[in-house]
Amino acid sequence: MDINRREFLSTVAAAQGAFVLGFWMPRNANAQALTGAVWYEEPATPEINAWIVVAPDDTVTIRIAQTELGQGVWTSNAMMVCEELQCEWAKVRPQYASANRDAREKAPAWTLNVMGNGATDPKGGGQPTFGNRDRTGVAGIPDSLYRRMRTNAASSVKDGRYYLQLAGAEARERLLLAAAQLWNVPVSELTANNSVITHGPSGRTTTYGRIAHRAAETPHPHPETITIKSPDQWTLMGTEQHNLDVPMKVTGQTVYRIDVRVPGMKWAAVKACPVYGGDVRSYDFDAIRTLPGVRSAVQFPIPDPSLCRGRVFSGGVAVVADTWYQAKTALDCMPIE
Amino acid sequence: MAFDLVVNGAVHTVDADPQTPLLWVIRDHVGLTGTKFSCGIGRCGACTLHVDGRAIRSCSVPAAIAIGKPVATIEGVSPDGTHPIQIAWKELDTPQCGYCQSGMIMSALALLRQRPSPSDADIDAQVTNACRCSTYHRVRQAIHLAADLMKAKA
Repeated sequence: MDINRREFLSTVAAAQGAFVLGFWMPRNANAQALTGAVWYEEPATPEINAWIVVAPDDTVTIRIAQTELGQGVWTSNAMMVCEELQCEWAKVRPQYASANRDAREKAPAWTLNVMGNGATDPKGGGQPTFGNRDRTGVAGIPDSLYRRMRTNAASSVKDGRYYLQLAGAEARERLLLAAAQLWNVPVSELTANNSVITHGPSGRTTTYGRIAHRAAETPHPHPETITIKSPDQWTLMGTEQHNLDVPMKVTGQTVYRIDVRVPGMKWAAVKACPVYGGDVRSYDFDAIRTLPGVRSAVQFPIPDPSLCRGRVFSGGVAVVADTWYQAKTALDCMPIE
Repeated sequence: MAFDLVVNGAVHTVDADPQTPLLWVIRDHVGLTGTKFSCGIGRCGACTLHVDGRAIRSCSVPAAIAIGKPVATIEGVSPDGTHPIQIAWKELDTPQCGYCQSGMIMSALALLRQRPSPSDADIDAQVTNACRCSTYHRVRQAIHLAADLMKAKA
């Protein structure tokens, strides 16, 4: 049998529907209170760019457009932004990027002109290869706000690295510009390290948190000239860091798709025809109508193969109830032919 | 039928059939979703929690068995991740996707309370939870580290 592990996992996941991890959350889900700022929320202080919000206490929220599945993408994406932003790593908080905003807003122009298809950055950003840069097609990276919101093909780092580093660099340059304007000094005399901006000649300092609201209103005059570090300048990328998703996973606070609750939500238990490509002849909802919590039964047809890349699925029946266990219990009792 | 459960030290009155699996009462009626559903037949251990200090696979036992006995879930280990077993888990970046880890931690904690210095054979015998990411070797290291941390704290 010639099937690789990745295909096996995705096939099994599709078949069982059990290995599911959420990537979108309603803003008012009960779980949100437990998880703080993990889901996108309007920031209390204005964002510097779509990826970065700096709070007055120097906490840096980094928007992540990929789903954390245990592969560490919250950590790796945040590290790539932090490397260039030069903020304090211990105060970085990951937050899921808004899919709504990605659909509505275009990517900043300075993220668009990045090379792909194995090219090396002519400005010194180095290899490894950046992925496909066509803005259309299955493998391409669209020019919507976050460029690429999917999480697949082991590509989150290699596809995202260039513009994530640029996002960190753009925000850093604007923080420096804002400080230079405030102090009326040349920006070339300022340096940034660990969320602190220092004016070399005078020794004067400020923090990202104190300057962030000004940086949010300070555009960069030539963002297309911003470059990313060459690999030999990296201080954070390439180092071993604790994964940012782990603290929530050892307290049971991580919200998986099975944990999502919305007001008035009902649950369905599903039974498909056990014969490949088979369909339901009949079912008797009246036999289970009075069981606890039961609301309705819904028959679903064999999907049109042209809508699912030619794959063959079976038809089936779902029972809807107040809880999943009630739905499953009733489904198991319902006569189905 | 309504009955009382004591979960993580708090009394919850739940209106459910007492024959409902304890897992679903904890998740849907008590509202604690850290305990996970996976296989539903008591084999994988994702639903492990403690009843009266013993590790139980809660998908396969009726809620009735927990009436009058203390129930502890992952949320009760410590809400802020400061229990030595959570510190050990974080130190070694033990979880990957993390779905099995609530049950894994509850199984390991029951073992550590029974055997403060478990051998690898003890771990193999008692922590039989399944992990699809295959974190088993880090779970083993984390249990040994947690054992050291719990002894140092004691």
